[in-house]
Amino acid sequence: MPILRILSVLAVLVFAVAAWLAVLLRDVNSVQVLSGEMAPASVTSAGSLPTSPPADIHWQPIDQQTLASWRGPYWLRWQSPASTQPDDAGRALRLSLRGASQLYWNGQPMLGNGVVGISAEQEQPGLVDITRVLPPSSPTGSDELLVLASSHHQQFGLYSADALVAVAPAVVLYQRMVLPWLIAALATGALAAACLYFLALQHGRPQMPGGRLLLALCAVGIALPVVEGWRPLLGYLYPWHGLRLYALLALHVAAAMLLPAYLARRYGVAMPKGLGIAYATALVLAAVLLPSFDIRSAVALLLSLLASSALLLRAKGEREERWPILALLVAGVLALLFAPGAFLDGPYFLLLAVLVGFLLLCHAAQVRALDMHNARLREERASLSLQLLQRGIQPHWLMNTLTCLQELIEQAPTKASRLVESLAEQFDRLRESSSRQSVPLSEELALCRNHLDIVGQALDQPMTLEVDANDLQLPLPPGVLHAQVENALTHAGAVACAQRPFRLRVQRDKQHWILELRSARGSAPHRGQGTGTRYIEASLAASHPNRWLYSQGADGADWCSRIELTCAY
Amino acid sequence: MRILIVEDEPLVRQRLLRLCAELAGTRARFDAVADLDTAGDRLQRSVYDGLLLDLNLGGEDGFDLLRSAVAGRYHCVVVSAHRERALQAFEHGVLDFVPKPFSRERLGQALERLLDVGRYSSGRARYLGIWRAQGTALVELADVQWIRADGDYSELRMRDGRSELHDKSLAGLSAVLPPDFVRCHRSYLVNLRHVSTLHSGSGSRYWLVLNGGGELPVGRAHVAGLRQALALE
Repeated sequence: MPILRILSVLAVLVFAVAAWLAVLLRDVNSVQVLSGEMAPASVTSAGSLPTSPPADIHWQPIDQQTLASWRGPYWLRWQSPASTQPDDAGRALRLSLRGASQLYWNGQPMLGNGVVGISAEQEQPGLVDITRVLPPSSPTGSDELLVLASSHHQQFGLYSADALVAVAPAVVLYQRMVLPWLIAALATGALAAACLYFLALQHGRPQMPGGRLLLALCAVGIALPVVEGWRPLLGYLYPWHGLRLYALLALHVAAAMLLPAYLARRYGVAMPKGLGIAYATALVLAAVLLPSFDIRSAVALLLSLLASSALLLRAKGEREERWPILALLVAGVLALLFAPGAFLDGPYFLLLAVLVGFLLLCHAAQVRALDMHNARLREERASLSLQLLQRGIQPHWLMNTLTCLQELIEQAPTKASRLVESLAEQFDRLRESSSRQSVPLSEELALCRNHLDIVGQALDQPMTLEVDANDLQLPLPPGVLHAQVENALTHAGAVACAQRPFRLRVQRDKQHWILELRSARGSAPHRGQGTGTRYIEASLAASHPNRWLYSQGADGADWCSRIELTCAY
Repeated sequence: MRILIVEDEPLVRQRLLRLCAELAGTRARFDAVADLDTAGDRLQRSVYDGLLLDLNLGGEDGFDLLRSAVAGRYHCVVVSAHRERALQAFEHGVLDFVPKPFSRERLGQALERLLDVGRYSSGRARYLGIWRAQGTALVELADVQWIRADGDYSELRMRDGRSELHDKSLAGLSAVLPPDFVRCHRSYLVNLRHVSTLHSGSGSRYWLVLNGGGELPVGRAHVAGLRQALALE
């Protein structure tokens, strides 16, 4: 098990979450969350909004679900014991309310938030969160915040109103409440950088399995903290709140779909189509039927983490990558089960950032490994191409042929001219073949016959190659038959080869192509271990990795070479 | 003089025969064979003074024959496409190496060397082939202290005191031995690497003391040449 990697990813996650919690909880004791009351407001007989609640108004404790359905106008009241702290003047309050509101602190009006209205036309929406510096506490020993509010522009029927008042030192509310988002911003930035690196690495290359899914997951991972941070960092008018919640839900569902889909693709886990549809349906149903956005998101993410873990357990190989991912997923499941609300408010996208960052790096490493593999293949091909050319102009054959040519020039110029033509054709064919990864059998045979023609002219005896093949288009790495012919000529001698023609038989047996070349056996020892054989084996290994066999040996008066290729052709 | 040509390519063999006959005229007679087995038979049955040898004959390595050839009384000229093996051939004691393809002039030079071995005083051999009961053994010339004429043969004295007999005469060996071997007497060639001192006695008598303590006589006719080779003049 890749312990080091598992510990590394968990350490990064723990560090990020610990940093988040450290800044979040630093001032938790100085923040006072008040409990409040609510009551519907009555329009005055003049048809205008009231400026204070009537004395006989019936206050009831705030019920967030009931309040979510109120459109307005309505009264909210929060009371707290007056502060006895010396820095009383430095206190501020933060009001979270999805509506326009008019605030009264100990009976004195404060700066409003939008314009409260009897109808939607009259109302001007306020911000979803506002912060106000508080005047000094009341000498009566009790402070009261009275709010007249209306929520006519609330378009979506939300499950909870989430109306909340928190009182704390001004410096806490104005500055430090945004600090946790600095951690989120760092995580998002790291994820964006990893994403850019991955995009740059992918540029101009063929797509790796699941590359697009991973990029989509990455986009979700970046978008989540951006949408989450919109409220605390920038704020917005309350009608946007429903849209933001739906956007967050959509992102959570998208992440829940993408993560298992990517892992299945990346690790080649075959998923029955029905199971995939059932999973997607379960996600959609959870997103539609469950009561609150938090519950919907939590269930979608839980399903996603469980499905992804199951996929990783079913996958095979690449333990170095799978186990660290599994460790992160298990950490996510545990966090989600024990503290779903706290997890979704921040650590979730930190987990997503670490997870997607790790996946990106793994994917990038895979791309780099593929690059190196391709470079090695290119190098191999270049080396084989060079070998083919070198073998085509090997000194012994070429110099002997040139010496023959000298003699023909002096003694039989017409034959010399023909030999020059054959040599030119041979070099042309070699040049053409060496620039390609594979050639049809017909071209390879032409190269062999041309070579035999040259040898035959030097020997003044015809050299023949008999072929029994139905398909002359069978692709072969260039030079493999040529090398066998050369081997036979070198080891058995041209005279023996002239007396016993070359015979090639090509046959297909299901997925196997078998090429059997017979030639004169000759008497030279140590045959079959030289550069020709090494070239043939290297060419077959490059063109048909793990799908080739090459054998050769004496068979009576013949030397028999056999190539067996497994291919879809 | 009889010279055997060993070449498997018919056209090349034809070219060698034709050009050699034209170049040597009546000074030599040439036979040609295509493979090592026939060459071995011919060399056993007939007396040849020279050999023109291809190094790659129908897949067989001509060095096998070359090792035997350089151990014999005849001299050997290699005619080969394997230019990269020229140095190795010289180290084995061949008289010349003619790379293929060859011109009439280049073949003529090698043939002249073969026909007039006595004119050439040094070669580039590092080894000498010695006949043994089991075949041919190679002796490293750096280990030879001196060589003495023994009729038509030569006696090689090794550093460890052993003696070996070589089929070539002292004059024949002079053509392939490196410049380290200098004539110090009409019957002796000495390897200068093993000379300790040159002594002169009464009556203009000279002798060499070797590193191992042995002594060699120095002929009066060879004193000047020897002093020059030892950088004493």
